[in-house]
Amino acid sequence: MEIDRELLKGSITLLLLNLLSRGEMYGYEILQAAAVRSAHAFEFKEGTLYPALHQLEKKGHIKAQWRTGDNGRERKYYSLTSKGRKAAQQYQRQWTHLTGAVNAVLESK
Amino acid sequence: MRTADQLIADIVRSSRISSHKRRQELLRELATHVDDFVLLARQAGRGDEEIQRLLVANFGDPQQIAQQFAWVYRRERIMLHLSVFLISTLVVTTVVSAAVMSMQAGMALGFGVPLLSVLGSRHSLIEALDILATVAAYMGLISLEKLFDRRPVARALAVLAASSAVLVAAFAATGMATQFLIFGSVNAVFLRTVQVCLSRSAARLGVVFAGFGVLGVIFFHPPASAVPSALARIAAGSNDSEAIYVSRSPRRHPDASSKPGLLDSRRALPDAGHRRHHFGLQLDRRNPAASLPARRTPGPHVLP
Repeated sequence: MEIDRELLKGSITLLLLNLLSRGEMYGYEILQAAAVRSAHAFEFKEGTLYPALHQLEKKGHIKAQWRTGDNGRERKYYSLTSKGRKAAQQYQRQWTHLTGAVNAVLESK
Repeated sequence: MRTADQLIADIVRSSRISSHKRRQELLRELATHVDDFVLLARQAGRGDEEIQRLLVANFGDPQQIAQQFAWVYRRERIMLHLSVFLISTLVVTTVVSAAVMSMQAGMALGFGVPLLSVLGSRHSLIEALDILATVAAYMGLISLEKLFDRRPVARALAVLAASSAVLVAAFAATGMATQFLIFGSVNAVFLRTVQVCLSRSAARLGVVFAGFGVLGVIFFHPPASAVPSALARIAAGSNDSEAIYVSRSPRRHPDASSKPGLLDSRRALPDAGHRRHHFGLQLDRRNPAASLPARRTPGPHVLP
């Protein structure tokens, strides 16, 4: 099912912080992980991932480092900072609260 | 069909990221993404053409992505434009002021007027303020235009108008002169409009010179009656030498009755036993024919 862009927009930050809290990843790897873990629900346009990553990097939530991966290719790896870790937890709490509230309204009779 | 390389180049070029190093890094990062995509697609048995098509389709609209990058790096861009604006304003103001002052110094030397009394006058300060205001407003317009994606000229003009209004209000509230701000803003809008509307340098120069020439004729020429009446006084025989003042400052010349902001001739001052040289026409009684305009004022100002 295709998710509306506006709905997706608010969740990208949480999604990225959550994925990176599991370990460092490079851009393409993040996309694949998001698609696999969401059963291909999150298949957003690939180009939009990078501005979001750069925004998080500027906020100090993630840091980037160029290094050579296992296959010998150089890539830019992103990982969470301590500030980003706290932000990820905070976003997750807010998300749980929000979805709970939205579900409560949707399921109310 | 757009290739992946073109796509990436388009994104980076349109992103308006000010740092060259950062642009290069983004280019490199997006290229590694493309490499990953192509590698996996080839492993899945897709052909090159199909891979390119899929890549472009999956990547999204390059303009939209570029706009997202522009938003992320907006602060750096604003800081850069602000720095360029301040430095260029300072440099251009200094250069133009130096050129104007040099011309005036040359004229002063030629007419035997003390150099310090010309360059150190209030008029010189006003000229410098006029030049500063014009250059600042013009450079401000150019810098502002670079901040807007759509209708940059119109938006920059709107921001300049709003900023000028705020500055004029603030200056007026503190009792400071505001005319040079208005003069600078109007000049900048005129110069930028000429630059936008006319593409040929010769036409631009022609319109600018004609525009300022017309302004000069409207505002700065002394009434025809001024010189003959002064000559008549001199002919009637008064002291040593007399000066006709073309003053802009009612405070400086309390006898002045004309409207502020417009140049006007003044009656000959009886106490003028020495040469008066600022803001006006000088008339040497002993040699009226050699009397020359000491200086023409550049703008319709009233001294604070």
